[in-house]
Amino acid sequence: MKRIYILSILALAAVLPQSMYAQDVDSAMSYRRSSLYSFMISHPDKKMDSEIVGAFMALETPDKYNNHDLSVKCITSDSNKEDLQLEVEEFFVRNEVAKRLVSKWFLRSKETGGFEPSLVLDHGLYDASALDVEAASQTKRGVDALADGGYELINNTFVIVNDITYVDHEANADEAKKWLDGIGEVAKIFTGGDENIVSSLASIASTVSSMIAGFAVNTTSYLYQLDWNDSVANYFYDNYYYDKPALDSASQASFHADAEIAARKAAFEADDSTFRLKYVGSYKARSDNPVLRGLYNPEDVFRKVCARAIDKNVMNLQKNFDQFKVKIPISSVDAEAKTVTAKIGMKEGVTAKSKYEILVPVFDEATGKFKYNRKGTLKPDPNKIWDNRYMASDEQAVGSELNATTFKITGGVGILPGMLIREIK
Amino acid sequence: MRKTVLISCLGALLCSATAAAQTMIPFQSGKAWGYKDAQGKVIVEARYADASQAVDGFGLVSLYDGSGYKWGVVGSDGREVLPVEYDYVDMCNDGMVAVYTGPVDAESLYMAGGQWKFISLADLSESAGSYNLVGPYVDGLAWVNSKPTSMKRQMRVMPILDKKGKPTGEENIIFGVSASFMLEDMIVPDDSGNVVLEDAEWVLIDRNGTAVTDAASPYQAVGMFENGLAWVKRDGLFGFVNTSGEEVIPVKYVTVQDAPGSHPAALLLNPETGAVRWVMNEAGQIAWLNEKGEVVIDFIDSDGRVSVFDTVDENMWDY
Repeated sequence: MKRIYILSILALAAVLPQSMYAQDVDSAMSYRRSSLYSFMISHPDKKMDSEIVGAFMALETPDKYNNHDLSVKCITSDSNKEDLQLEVEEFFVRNEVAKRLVSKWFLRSKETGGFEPSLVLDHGLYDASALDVEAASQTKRGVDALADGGYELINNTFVIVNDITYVDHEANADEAKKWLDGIGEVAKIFTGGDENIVSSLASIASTVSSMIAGFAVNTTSYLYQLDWNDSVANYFYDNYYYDKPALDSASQASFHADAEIAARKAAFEADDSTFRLKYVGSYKARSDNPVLRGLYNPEDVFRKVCARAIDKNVMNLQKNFDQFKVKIPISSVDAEAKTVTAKIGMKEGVTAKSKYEILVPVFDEATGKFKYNRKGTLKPDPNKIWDNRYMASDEQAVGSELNATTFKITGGVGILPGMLIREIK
Repeated sequence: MRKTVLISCLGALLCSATAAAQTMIPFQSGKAWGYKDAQGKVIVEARYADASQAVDGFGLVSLYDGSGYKWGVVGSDGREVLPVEYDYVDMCNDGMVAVYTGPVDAESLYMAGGQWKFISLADLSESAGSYNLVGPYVDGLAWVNSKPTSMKRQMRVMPILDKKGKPTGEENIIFGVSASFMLEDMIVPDDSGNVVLEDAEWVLIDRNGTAVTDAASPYQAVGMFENGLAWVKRDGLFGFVNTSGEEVIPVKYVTVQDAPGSHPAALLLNPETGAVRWVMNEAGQIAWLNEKGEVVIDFIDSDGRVSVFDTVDENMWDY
């Protein structure tokens, strides 16, 4: 009965009044975002590897995605390997990465094996006032209350593996060559093991800074998606899910004496086949030359180059693979000017030629899942495209002073804040 | 060696280097450099050999006095805030600059054997002491060493690029790319190409020059503060201090993250785990600690890196 009640609420989403959409932009943003675990492949045998790792580790998850990082963020590989993708996929299987991603969705305790739905609830909340979250938050019923059991959320969990390598300028940059040669010599020293010898390339700041101007990277990004379908979800809920025990001693004692729980825990830990990652695709690109304006130290340059390289790949993966496209809520509507604004910009690939559709989520009772109905179409105002690329404001880039892109409504009526937009071809 | 140009001794650490800096734009007239405002009006006449991009409304300038370059600071109001008389000036942080008086090797751009002190640009007050080596002010704290050493600091340089991002010529270089210098600036190779970290006596001081760490027990070597922690070395062992000068991770480890001898790519954990640094014990095992020095992941057999062929130790996974 409760499920039907919730469905009714969710069905209203398609016809929500303007005020409700306006109030719910933030939660809409949270809910609609896909989740991302990003990590990198490090090549210790390549120049500038430590700088690249340092830059990557300092980067935050792209802001259109929920951070679903696991603790291991960097793995090493020989740069000459041609079958890196295969090795990565074997790493996923060997280390049960997919199962760990599911465990993170349900905040599994490694000690007790118990789960809780609060993260799913948090990201999946449609309307806090409409759901009795407090009552539901401690049990799986909380997830059930989301009507689709968190299906959309969990299914939209991605892993992006960034293989980042330094582009050596020796062939065409005389100045850089001299400095690079010097760094190469220093790099040999680092692995010598003498504790009096400085081991970090970054430590040789004066030398490194001599060549940062030409710093560039090649980045291949491999995209994977968590394979979360009805079969997997039902198997998980039916065979593995149990709530974390309360902290009081009686609950703990009861929990630890429960043979069924122990069996579920053991079964989940032994399961090496139910949870998988499926390959979506890849994109390879070379970073653009860094604009040095606004950069004050080498780390800023490395970070800017790596951030923009990854953003560029993410953007192109979005363009190439529909399931990875982001849906962004409309921030504001100017009915008179027939324009809307949304917090999306050049980082997400918005150009004067881009086209977007306006979507509203509708719960499909036949499938028990959400679908998105087109409500209208948009085109960016070429003069009001937000430059939200990494450190764009520091380089005083045109458009970086904006905080959203303005779009002209090219089709549709009744457009409201909170409705979602998605790029179309 | 140098044809000159912009010195962008900008402040990585000068966090508000934006609005004011935008109104001081270096320009060249003949071979001399000065500053214009955003409207193109000259605010500092072109009479300097070098002019940096501005930071917080201040720019570094130099003049050649026949034997070498002298350095000073000009303000956005056109005033020469700090006279052009120092052998080098480094924009620091918290409204402070570090000034150097002593020998400069014009060819290598090394500085060694002189004395450093701090000057506040707000009131031109000077630090009470002068030091053999100094680090930049970060959050009101700076590392200083009073023990004479032969360690050198090198002016930072990088090539000037054309619009396509390529170096414009061998002699076109920018000085002081990093707005503020870093401790690592003084770690330079010797004539044989070896990089040696000489023992010094480092103490952390606040803006008043008061020691925050135990001056009676200085450190042989120190690192820059990053996310509130800096590695330190005493009696050959490593640990970390926080910005209050407390040894939150005791100085008892063979090596620690970011310290000399450590693997540069050892970072494996994201900050959400609470693990902020790794340390290595005498057995060569590493553990990850939180910012209070508490163990997040206990010692395991690892050199700090994970190969794509590894089965990662279960303790290193958070889920």
